[in-house]
Amino acid sequence: MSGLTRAVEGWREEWATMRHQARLRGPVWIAWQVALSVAALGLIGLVVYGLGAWAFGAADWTVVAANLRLFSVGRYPADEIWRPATVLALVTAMSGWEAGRTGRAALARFFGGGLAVLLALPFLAPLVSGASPSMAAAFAAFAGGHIAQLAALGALAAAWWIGARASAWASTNRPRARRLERASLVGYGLVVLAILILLRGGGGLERVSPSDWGGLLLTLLLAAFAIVLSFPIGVLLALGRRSSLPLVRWVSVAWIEVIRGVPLVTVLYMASLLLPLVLPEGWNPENVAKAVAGLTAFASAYVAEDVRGGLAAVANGQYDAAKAVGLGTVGMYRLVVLPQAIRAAVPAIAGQFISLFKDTALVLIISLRELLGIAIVAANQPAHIGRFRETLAFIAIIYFAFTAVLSSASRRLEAPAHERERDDAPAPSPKG
Amino acid sequence: MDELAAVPVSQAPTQSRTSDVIIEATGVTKSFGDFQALSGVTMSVRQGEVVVILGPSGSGKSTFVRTLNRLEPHDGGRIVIDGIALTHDVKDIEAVRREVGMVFQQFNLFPHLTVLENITLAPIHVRRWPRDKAEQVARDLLDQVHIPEQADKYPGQLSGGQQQRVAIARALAMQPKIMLFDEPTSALDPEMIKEVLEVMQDLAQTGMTMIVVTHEVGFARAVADRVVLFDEGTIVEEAPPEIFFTAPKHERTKRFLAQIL
Repeated sequence: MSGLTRAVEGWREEWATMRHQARLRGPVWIAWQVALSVAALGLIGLVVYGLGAWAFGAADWTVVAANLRLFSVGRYPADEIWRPATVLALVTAMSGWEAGRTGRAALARFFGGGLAVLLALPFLAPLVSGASPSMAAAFAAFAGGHIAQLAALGALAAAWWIGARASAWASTNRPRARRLERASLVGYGLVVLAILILLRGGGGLERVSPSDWGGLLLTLLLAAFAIVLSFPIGVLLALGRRSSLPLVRWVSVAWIEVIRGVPLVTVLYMASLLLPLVLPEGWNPENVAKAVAGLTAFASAYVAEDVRGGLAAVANGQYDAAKAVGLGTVGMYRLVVLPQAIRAAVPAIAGQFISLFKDTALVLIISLRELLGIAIVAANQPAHIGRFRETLAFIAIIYFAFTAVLSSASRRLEAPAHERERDDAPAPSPKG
Repeated sequence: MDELAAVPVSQAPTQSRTSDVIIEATGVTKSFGDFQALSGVTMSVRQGEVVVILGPSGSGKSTFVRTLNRLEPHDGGRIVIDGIALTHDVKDIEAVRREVGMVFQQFNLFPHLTVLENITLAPIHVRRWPRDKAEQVARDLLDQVHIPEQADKYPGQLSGGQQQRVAIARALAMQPKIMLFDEPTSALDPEMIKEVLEVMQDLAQTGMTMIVVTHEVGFARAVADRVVLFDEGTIVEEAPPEIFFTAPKHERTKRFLAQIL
């Protein structure tokens, strides 16, 4: 509601500015503005009309509706679908837990809402596909055919809510919150392990080869692992770059500059072709692992540069103060310098990770079938031959939805940082 | 200038101060490129002594104080702090820094931590105190510097004078034997200088060994056991305040005093 009022407020302001400008600049300027506006509106109208006419007319969305499972999990066996579903529930509960623990209510609601919308997306496709007969019938079919999915969505929301509540309660007192922080870290490690075991199988579960993982599942896995792994590596590279040990410095600089000077496609080929040569005999990792290695190597170099920028933003006095209170080099960086540097680098790093999420599409070239791969596969099926527009439009929406969530989340992450990050120079006026 | 004129002056009982030398600097030199910042500084400070260093800017007084906890490594000469000689040995440097607190002109509080976290950081991570003990000590120190109510604020939310008092509390939390003050009031608005100087004066009366680089002559008169004038990287004159301000020996000191008084 407040968002809407803010938008209306914004429009009002723009309107007022325009009127003011019109008074200042006279009729020729106004004529120009009108002409440009009409032209722009016409162009927008053409595009929207064209797209709309196609989406609700010529387009045949059955290619999407018929392949929803492919789009979401790839060739993961139908009987084992409960495993990725469980993974989803785990991740959802974990994000709820984290949101509740850190007490970021706005961020928490946002992630919750965003997640729900994203999960609903695949279910909306049949709705679109049913648009041609009649909207009402489509809605009925949607509700009837997808009660199970809606129930699952409800369960996910519940998992998230319970996680948030439980951890919010648990962090109400400080010593408990601190223990919780440590326990949470261990817990997240265990959850990641559980996710891998669930997806791969073994230990009583039927084995599912990672080459059968695909679609959104694979896109998210690649992005998540590359993000989580490249962050600490990037921080270490940034520190290595300013190390006083020449070897460490040279290796870091070489890593960063070589990777940044090479396209991601090349890095992925390298990971796929060269990694087996470097690794011990007979140890040939899965393509998925190679893709994660390539993406991680790539992203880490960029994260390192972002963190370097953050480090430059930390005042020299901070180093003096950290040393003067007796902290060693490790303590100085861990407790004083890096927290400030990373906070300063959050906007840049967030942008990096959004790019990384989209860049996962490139693993297509080492024959992995993530979202883009599936879009191509589906459009080559005999029943849907050549329906590229539909499949590509569909995955474009999914990519956009995720990056929108990521960028909004990063904006929210920045906010409290700015609020706290004040120069420790004298305040302009005394308050005490 | 004379901020302390209004402060009731009760000189610390000097007889309680022992004559053990705790800082021994001999022929200390330091240069930055071509610029000779220190050219042979020799000074010894006894435990419990309050030494005020005066001098024009660029005279090397700040550099000298920063060599005492090796924020600046000295090029030549010898510095011994509480029996430990400062060399490249990291263990020795960290041992010295644990015993030497420092307060900076720009406060240098950690902006990402609350006041309480600023003060407890080193005791917890360097001294390995349990958090409860560290927080208790921190709250006592905040009482001592008269801002107990600011514990949970961030440095950016405090005035300059408050920030500097937090910085003093942060340094004291390590229970140092020596406190170094590098122009602690130079970045403060005039009305906030007094509150910081009062805290420093209280500290001097507890028998803390202090080296204070400052321009506050009133403070030097009231609190210092000895006043030292730096110029061009060396000590020009060194005398108790009564003599330093009324009967200086050197021409350079007279000129300096004429400028600032």
